[in-house]
This record gives sequence, C-alpha cells and structure tokens, in this order.
Amino acid sequence: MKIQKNSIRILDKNQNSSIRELNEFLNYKGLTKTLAKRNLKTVYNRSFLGWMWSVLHPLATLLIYSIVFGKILNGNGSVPSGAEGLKSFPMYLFSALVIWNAYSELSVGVMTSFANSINLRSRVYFPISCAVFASFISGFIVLGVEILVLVGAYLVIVGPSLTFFLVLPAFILAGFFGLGVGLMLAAANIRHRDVGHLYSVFLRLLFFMTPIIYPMNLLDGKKVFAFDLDKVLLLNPLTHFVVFIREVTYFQKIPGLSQWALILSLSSLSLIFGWGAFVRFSPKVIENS
Amino acid sequence: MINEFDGYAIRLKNVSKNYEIENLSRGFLQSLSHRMYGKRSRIFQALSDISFDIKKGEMLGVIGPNGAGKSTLLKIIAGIVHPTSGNLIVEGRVASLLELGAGFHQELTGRENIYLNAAMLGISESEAKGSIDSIIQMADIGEFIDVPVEVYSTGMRARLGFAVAVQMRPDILLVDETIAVGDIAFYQRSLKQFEVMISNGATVVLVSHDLSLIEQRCNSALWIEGGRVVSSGAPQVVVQRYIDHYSGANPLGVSGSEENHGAGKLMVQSELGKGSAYCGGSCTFRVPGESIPKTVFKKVTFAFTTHHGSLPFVATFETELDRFQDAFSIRVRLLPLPPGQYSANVTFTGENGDCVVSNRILVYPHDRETEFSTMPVISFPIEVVHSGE
Repeated sequence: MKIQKNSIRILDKNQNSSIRELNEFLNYKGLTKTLAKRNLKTVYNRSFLGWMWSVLHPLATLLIYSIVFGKILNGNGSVPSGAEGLKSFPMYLFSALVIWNAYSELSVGVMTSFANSINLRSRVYFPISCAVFASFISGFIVLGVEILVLVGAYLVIVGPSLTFFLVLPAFILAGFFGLGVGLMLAAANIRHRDVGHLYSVFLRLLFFMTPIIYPMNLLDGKKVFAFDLDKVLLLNPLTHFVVFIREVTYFQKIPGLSQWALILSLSSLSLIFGWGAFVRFSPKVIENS
Repeated sequence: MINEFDGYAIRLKNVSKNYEIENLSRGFLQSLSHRMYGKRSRIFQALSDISFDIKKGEMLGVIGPNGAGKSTLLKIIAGIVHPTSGNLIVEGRVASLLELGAGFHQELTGRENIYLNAAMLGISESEAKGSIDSIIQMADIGEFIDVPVEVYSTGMRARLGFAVAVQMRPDILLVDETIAVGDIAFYQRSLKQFEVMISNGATVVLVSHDLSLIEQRCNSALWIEGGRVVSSGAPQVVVQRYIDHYSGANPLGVSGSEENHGAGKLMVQSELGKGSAYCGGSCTFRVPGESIPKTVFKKVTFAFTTHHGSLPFVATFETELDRFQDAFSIRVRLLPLPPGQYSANVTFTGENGDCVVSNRILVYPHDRETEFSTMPVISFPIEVVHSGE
C-alpha cells in the first residue's frame, strides 16, 4: 500500500512548534481551500442582494461619512488638493476607508474564526491555522471588491493613472498587518473573552487616531497632555498605510523607498509576531476549551 | 527517538498527558492576581508513561473503567491534543469517531460535511465526489443529505459519521464505541466494515466496554486505568485479567450479598474447556456438594445474567428437600445465548432467603459468521443429573 510521505506524523518534542504548524498547514492546503470556499458561499447566505452588499456596504459608509464629516463638520474645507486639480472630500476619505476596512475586518475576522473553529477542533484533528487562513482569504476576497470600486471611482472621476496599480500592494500589506494582529489576539480572546470586547473599543479609538476623516496637517500644533498629536499619530502603524494609499490614489505619486520599507516591515513584523504568538499559545487554549 | 517504524501504524513511547485544571468562572482580575502571586492551577495527570505499538492491519481494543484515560489516548493518537511528554509516530491518514458526529459542522448540510471531512483527511473534493454515493447509501439517510446536520437524529448522525470515516479509506480508524455510536443495530452491522477495512490493510483502535467483542475481534488489547497501562497483549489474557480484577471487587452474581454465596463456585465445563462454551453448543454446570446449602430450600433457579444485569435465560425447577445433598450437574444441550460474557447463577430459595452459587461464562460464536443478536428471555428445557459425588 502506498503511503504519502506527508501523512506520517512524527511528534518530536524537540521539533520547533512553529515549523511543525507551518508544515501541517502546508499539508492541509486542500482544507484551507474548502473552508474558504465554504465561507464565501455562506457570507451572503439568505440575503436578497447577496454579493451586491460588498459594493453597497462601503458606498453607504462613504455616503454617510461624507455627509457627516464632510458637510456637517466641514471636512471639505480642510481637504488638500490632489492630482489633476482634484479636491473632493469623499474621494480623499474613500482611499483611507478601504485600508481601514481591510485592517479592521480582517483582524476581527481572524480572531473570531479561531473562536468559531475551536469547538470542531476539539473533536477532530486539523491544523487550526487552516480555518484562520481560510477566514483571512475569504475576507480578503470580499473586501477585494472594495478596491475594485475604489479604483473604478478614481478612473471615472480623475482618469487613468499607473499609480493605481499600487493600490493592490497597499491593500495586501494592510491585510497582512491585520492578519498578524488577529493572530496575536486569537488565543488571548479565548483565554479571556474580555480581549474581544476591549479590542472593539480600541478599534473605535484607533479609527479616530488614524487620519481617515481628516488630513494629517489638521493636527499640526495641537496637543493633548503635552504630547504633540501629529507625532502621536505617526506611532499608529495604520497612519503609514493610509498615507501610502492616498499617495497612489489621491495624489497619484509613487511613494518613496522609505514609505515602502515602512509598510513592508510593519506588516512582516506583525505577521512574524502574530504567527509566533499563535503557535505558542493556541495549542494550550484548544486543549483547555 | 524511535526511528524504525516499518510495519507499525502507531508507536507511542513514554507518552504522558497533563491537564491544567483552571477555574473558568474566575474573572480576569482575579486570575491576573493569581498569576502575579504565583498561584498555580492544579495539574491532572490523564496519562502517564504510556508505551505501546500497533502493527499495520491490526485491531487494538482498549478497555478500562470510565475516566481511565481511554479517550485522552485516542485524542493523542488523533492529534487533537499533544502529549505533555513522550514521543509518538502515527503513519497514515487518521479518521476518528470520538464523539457522535464528531467532525460535523452543524450549519452545513450532510453533503457539505462529507467534503469538509474529506478535506480534513487530506482528500480533495474531486476525489471525495467518487465515494459520495457509497457514503449516502451506507449512511442510509436519503434526502436528508442536503439538509443541515443540526436537524439530524442521533442515529442519522452516527450513521453518517461512520459511513464517512469508513468510506474515505483512512489508514487508521479510531473509534470510541462508548460514546460515538448511537444506534446499536447499525453499529453491529458496522463491525463487518471494520473487518473489511482491516483486510484492506487499515488499522483500527477501538475503545469499548464490550469485553466479548474485544476478545473475539481484536488482535491485541490494552487495559488502562488511572492513566497507566495495567495489562496489554493477547485480548483473551487481558480481558480475563480485567474480569478477574473486577469480579473480586464486585461479585458477578447480581443478587445476594457476599455471605449468601456458597463456599464453592459453580463449575462450567464444555468442549471449549473451563469457563467458556460455544453459542448453540452444549455445556455442563456443576454445583459441588459443599456449595449446596444445608438449610431447607424449596426451589432452585438456574439463570444467566449479562453484565448489565438483565436475564436472557431462566430455568426454574422445584425440588424435594433431601434431593441435593450431594453435587449435581445441569446440562444444557444447546446453549441459547448470543456470544458474550455472562454470569451463570444457581439460586437456592429457602425460608431464610436466597443462596446463590455463580461463576462467569464466556460464550463464543460458533464460527465467525455468527451474527450478534439480541435474544428474548426464553425458558429452556434442561436436564438435571443427580450424581453421588
């Protein structure tokens, strides 16, 4: 009888658990695919508009924010001029919103998918990273519709530009950054459910601490408890992703090397730490649940 | 590290498993303070220093009382939990039936769950498509295959779970019969499937409380208790030790207290030897003279009880007072019992209560084809032979 090489499971305590989990994940690629497919099939289950929602949802948010922050709170006045004489608060907002959605929804999605898979995992073996990555992939595809809408809107309003191709790497890197954060929180959220609640509160704060509904220079010279707000904002990793995507869409500029290096290292650091924390803490959490 | 695993499906070496018991109702701040002040949670050792090997194509029966660590052992082999220490090698695709409908996602339909289970075994969707018809047929759930699993009955869930596990042709199948199987009739039909799988080279690990099943079908047995291996090896030997151990603590005679038992034991003899007989074969039960109570008794009852306490066979005969001063034998020409383990009891009913003489009898199927069946309580003609010692 033929036995596939990858079906031999040797448990050696000396083996690095991070590599072991990665091997298992690669052995079960088919499962990740099946789970991602299932997620995509069930996202818009029992809904009349179905996939239209992935377009309607960001557009509705954009409309509301444009009215509230643009018209009522006069965001329109502070918007800088972009490429080709563009001066539009909704377009300025939309670019940043896509990044924000990618980060927040993927990090929360990864965290909750772990919680949702634990029950099944405690009854039958499969690498739980498959369920987590499946949720990441399906979330990524659903959110991907948003970048199509974003680029489409820019093409209609401003016309074509080569810099629009750089939306994709910005979106992917922001997604990986969210994946890393989700992985870091996944196990902690099972150990103490408070983590999930705390994180949703933290996300609200983070939304306003990221220059999404306002440009960076709005905070020049403003202080909270002797901290310069614009300096504090730079400590927020998401600021750099938002600045990056605005460069390539609103301003149609190719970002400098330092900007590339910054978001690349932010997302890889997040992934490395996230994966490390996940491999370190998830087995114990699974067994105790 | 154990390296040579040719011919072995599963090898465990010095495997131990500890669980940390934590009070989950404890709040965040409380647990934080416990951690800061170094209050450790209690450790429960579920398995300690377990070593054994299973060859490919064998069936291992695992026995032991509740809480012995049987389920933990299966979970370790399945990869659901990691051992705290020790090494293990598992070669091949492992399917497990550790709980009722274990690998099922409640919100997905039966069909989607089949694909999901296949993916968990590393089988692609197109490969799984080939066996989906045979799964549906074996599970016998008809149109319910396209309905979410959450509405399934217990029996349907058990049948589908079993059909998926068997039809995916895993190299290793782990079954916890004590909880995974709902429908007894289906399970007994499934036993045939185990043999088909084993003849195809698969390895089966079965946790069961059915000792006769383990004696008859397994190649080897493992008795664990308190997380340790008490005995392992040939199933007949292990089961015998297990029964002897527990019959000491809890006499097999279900009625009567210790002092009501006669001094001697009921002797069981057949062509198979002492203590066992063939289903449908002949068997002799001998009550030695010293076991017969010297008090006045009116009625003698001869009965078999299963280890659940039910009575599949009862024969009663009235007697005269002075008739059994000496040893006597009861001969049964055609033993009307399905294969299994029973207690044979002779009860002397007198004015001062009952006196029971009992012993264990193992009934074997006459050939491998004999079906397990549940027999109703029947009365059966027996022949009582008076013998003057």
